[in-house]
Amino acid sequence: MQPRIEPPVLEARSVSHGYAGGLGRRRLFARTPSARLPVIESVDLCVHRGDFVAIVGPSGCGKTTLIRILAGLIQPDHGQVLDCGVAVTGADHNRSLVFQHPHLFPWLTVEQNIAFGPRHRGTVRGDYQPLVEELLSLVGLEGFRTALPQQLSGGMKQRVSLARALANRPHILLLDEPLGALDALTRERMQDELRTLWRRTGCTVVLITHSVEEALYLANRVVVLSGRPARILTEIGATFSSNGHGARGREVKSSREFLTVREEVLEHIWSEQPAGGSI
Amino acid sequence: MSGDKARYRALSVASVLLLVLVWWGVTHLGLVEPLFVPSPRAVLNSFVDVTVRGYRGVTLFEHLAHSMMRVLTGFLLAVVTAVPLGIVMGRHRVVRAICDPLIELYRPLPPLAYYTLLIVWMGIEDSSKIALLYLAAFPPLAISSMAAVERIPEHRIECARCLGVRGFALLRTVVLPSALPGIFTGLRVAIGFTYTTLVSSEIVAAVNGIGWLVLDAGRFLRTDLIFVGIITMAATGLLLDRLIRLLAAMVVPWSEE
Ligand SMILES: Nc1ncnc2c1ncn2[C@@H]1O[C@H](COP(=O)(O)OP(=O)(O)O)[C@@H](O)[C@H]1O
Ligand SMILES: [Mg+2]
Repeated sequence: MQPRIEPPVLEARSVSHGYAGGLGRRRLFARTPSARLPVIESVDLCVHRGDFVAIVGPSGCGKTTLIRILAGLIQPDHGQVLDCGVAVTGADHNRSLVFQHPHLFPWLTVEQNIAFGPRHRGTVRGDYQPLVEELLSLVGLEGFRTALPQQLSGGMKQRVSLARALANRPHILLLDEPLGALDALTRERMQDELRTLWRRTGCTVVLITHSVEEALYLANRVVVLSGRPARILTEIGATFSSNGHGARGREVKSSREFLTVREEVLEHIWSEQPAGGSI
Repeated sequence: MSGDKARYRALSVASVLLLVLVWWGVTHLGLVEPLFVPSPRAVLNSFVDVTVRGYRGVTLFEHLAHSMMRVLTGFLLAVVTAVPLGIVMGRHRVVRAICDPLIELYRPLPPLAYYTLLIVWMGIEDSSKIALLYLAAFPPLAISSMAAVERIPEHRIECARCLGVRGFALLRTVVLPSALPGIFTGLRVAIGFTYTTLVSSEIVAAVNGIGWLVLDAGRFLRTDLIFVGIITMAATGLLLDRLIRLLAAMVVPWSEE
């Protein structure tokens, strides 16, 4: 029998978006805002099951806007997003977004934070509790299950935030610079944890980052964005994420091969920026 | 840190004791007529007297019970209506646009200004007082709940939506707990204002209650009783505030990051 072709887990079709305001005066009864600041310019993206796609771009280029569109929090001006072939019309537990800051619910314990999604969507406890236990041990916080967020360090909070997103069994995990607010050492360690997480759960991930190094280290596909308005400049199939190659530790970051590719990507981003441009 | 705290507490206690001491000194030395400022001992005596034998057949605690019943009924009715309304106003611009002007319109009025009208409509008994206290408590409760909901970080709501929680579940599991600290601040402001309004309303029109006791004692120049009434009011007002703070510490044990 002919195998059915699986639709991509997540697909963006010529997505464009802009924000009202900035330039030009808004008139009182203007039907359409006179000037829109273009932020995303016809982005096409196809994410397949098991992919770890990293999206890199200079800060302020529109990365957060793009991932919020993918999550369904923003409806794009043009184009559409498909989740397993179905048009996205709003936020949904199938596409869990993890923000730069963990945004835990301060009145809930670590365990209750992780169980939040399935619990309040009316799933019975017996169905989600085993997964919650599994996630607690996956992120190494079994000893903190009854702790409140205010008692946790930044890295621990972000781990809870990741586990909380995974507790929904999402089709896809969307990460918006999840390590951006952490100190350098914690960040290194969390990168390794993210790699392990991906390898162990086989989940599909889209990661936003402004660090080319992080993108190459973690992802099996790296999408490079231009400065605002964000367009896709190029895509690189990275081989440093140890997908299929067995684990390569963080020493890979200082290998000649890694540094060469990193230089190439940076060259792409910089050559596109006009001198003294927007960043 | 805790040593500092104890020192400040000791200072506060000393400050109150000093006031009592000055009061005692002034009356002991006979610097003022006892008719104007009775001695602490005389006030204590009439406190015991009015507690045990009562004033005109009604004891102090019966008066207090009447007053508390009015305050708590009006206040609780306001809590169960104004807080939900405030929360909805904080989430929905349309509801806010409709309700906000109505509340803002009567909020600046001193409650006694419309009390006369309430008496005309509902009589001089308890119902007009409860209505008055309800109306007095309503605006601070609704407005503080609304403000608490508006202060909720939008990211937190978006987080919950990405976790698949929406509609009433979102309101119950995210919006309400997030707003609770602000709502409790509103409760404290409102109970204080309601209590003040109660006493004034009892002074204007009543046949019992702690406010009436003070008014009636004044008619007969019983300053000792006036002092008893005022001190009782201060103590109960403080107690109500403490109760709400205690409740807040129990219901909202977390701190916002
Ligand atoms: N809600 C908004 N309204 C108006 N402009 C916005 C809004 N959000 C972001 N922007 C603008 O869009 C651009 C891209 O923002 P963002 O997507 O956050 O970039 P990045 O995440 O890459 O740093 C920025 O110039 C920012 O000022
Ligand atoms: Mg961003």
